Amino acid sequence: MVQDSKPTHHTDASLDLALAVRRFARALVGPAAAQMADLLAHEALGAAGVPASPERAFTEAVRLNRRRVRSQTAQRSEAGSSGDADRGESLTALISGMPLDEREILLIVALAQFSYEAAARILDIPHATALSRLMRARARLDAARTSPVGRIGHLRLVQ
Amino acid sequence: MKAPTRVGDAELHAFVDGQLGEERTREIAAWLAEHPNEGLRVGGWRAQNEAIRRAFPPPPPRDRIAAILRTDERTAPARPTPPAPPRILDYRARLRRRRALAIAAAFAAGAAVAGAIVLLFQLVGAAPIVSGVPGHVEIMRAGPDTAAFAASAYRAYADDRQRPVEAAARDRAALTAWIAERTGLSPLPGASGTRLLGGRVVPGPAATAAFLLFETDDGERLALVAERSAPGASIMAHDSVDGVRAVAWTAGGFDFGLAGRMTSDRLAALAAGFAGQRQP
Repeated sequence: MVQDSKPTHHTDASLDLALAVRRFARALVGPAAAQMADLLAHEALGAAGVPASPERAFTEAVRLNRRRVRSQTAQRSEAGSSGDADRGESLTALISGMPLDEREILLIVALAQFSYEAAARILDIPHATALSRLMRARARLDAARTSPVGRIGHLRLVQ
Repeated sequence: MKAPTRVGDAELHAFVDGQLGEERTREIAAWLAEHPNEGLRVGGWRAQNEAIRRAFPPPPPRDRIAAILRTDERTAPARPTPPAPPRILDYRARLRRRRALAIAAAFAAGAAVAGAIVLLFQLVGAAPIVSGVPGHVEIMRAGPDTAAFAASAYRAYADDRQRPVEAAARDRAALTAWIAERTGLSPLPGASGTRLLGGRVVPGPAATAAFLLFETDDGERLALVAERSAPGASIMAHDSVDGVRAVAWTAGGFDFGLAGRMTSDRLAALAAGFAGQRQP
């Protein structure tokens, strides 16, 4: 038997996954808090174990973000502040201003490009709920733009 | 293929997101061609998807070496306190202690540590991620294995009071030649504020690796492991276990791991010293 001396978790797949989770976390947390997002992604990957399945890693990211949002909301209602979502008309601002449940499904499907079935499992919601949230998210973006459909392709982007 | 008579919104969304089979996708495309209003809506969602992907671009691949600096606002500048020797026994010990304090002072300001790490990662060619989360400095990179390997090598050898190294640093030429021949690592790394005690050849996670034992000026042991880099890497953290902290980085084709029983700020500063010194 030839021994395979290659390490098993030094793979491009795990690098790709790590980057995908970071990208998702940055979008989910919002561009104003990229550092927090990176930390969240890092913790999600840690919690997902090695080797992590993409679904598992994203599930952890969603879970950690929900926990973060809950504690933030609690802090805010104490402090009476209105939050740190960036305001404006940019797509990133619109997405960070969305209700969390809509933002989650939109980013899982549009950004991370999971199947609807996997998305429903990651978010721990029924398939039909996932779909209706996704439709609401898209309708919200359409409405917020209040622009002719053709203009949507020219959304102002924020780096 | 035959265009369906009616397509619901749910299926149109599934069409946009590529969730349908090939045949159904063709059917709906044909249906949309005859229903321009629906076609516009679908085109809008598709453009939304693309705009979202552009708005949140993938992090650059060089981020595979990543640093998270966590600075605690309340306690900053964090002072890594060297364990104070119980008594100053002689002049040399006093000198050593002074030097240790000077080193500690050099790293006392969080900014100094941050600067060192930023410099390190500029040298290595990767952008550090600076996190505002309270805590401490931590370098992360490239799979948990190098850091974990450094930590376990520390426990196996650095904690060994009988025979921590196979070859002592007294015969530096022989040690250098041996390590170079067996692992390819040359010259032996070093960092200011540390003294090489010796080394040995050890089995690494992926290849035959070098284990080098250092002592800091204030008498703390440091284990440095180095093995040839495996292709590809993942961003993973390694947390400290039993008080042994480890950091890992990549430089000059080698994965390095550094472990010791000290604060992560101090360890990160020492790692910056080793990594900086290795750069061509």
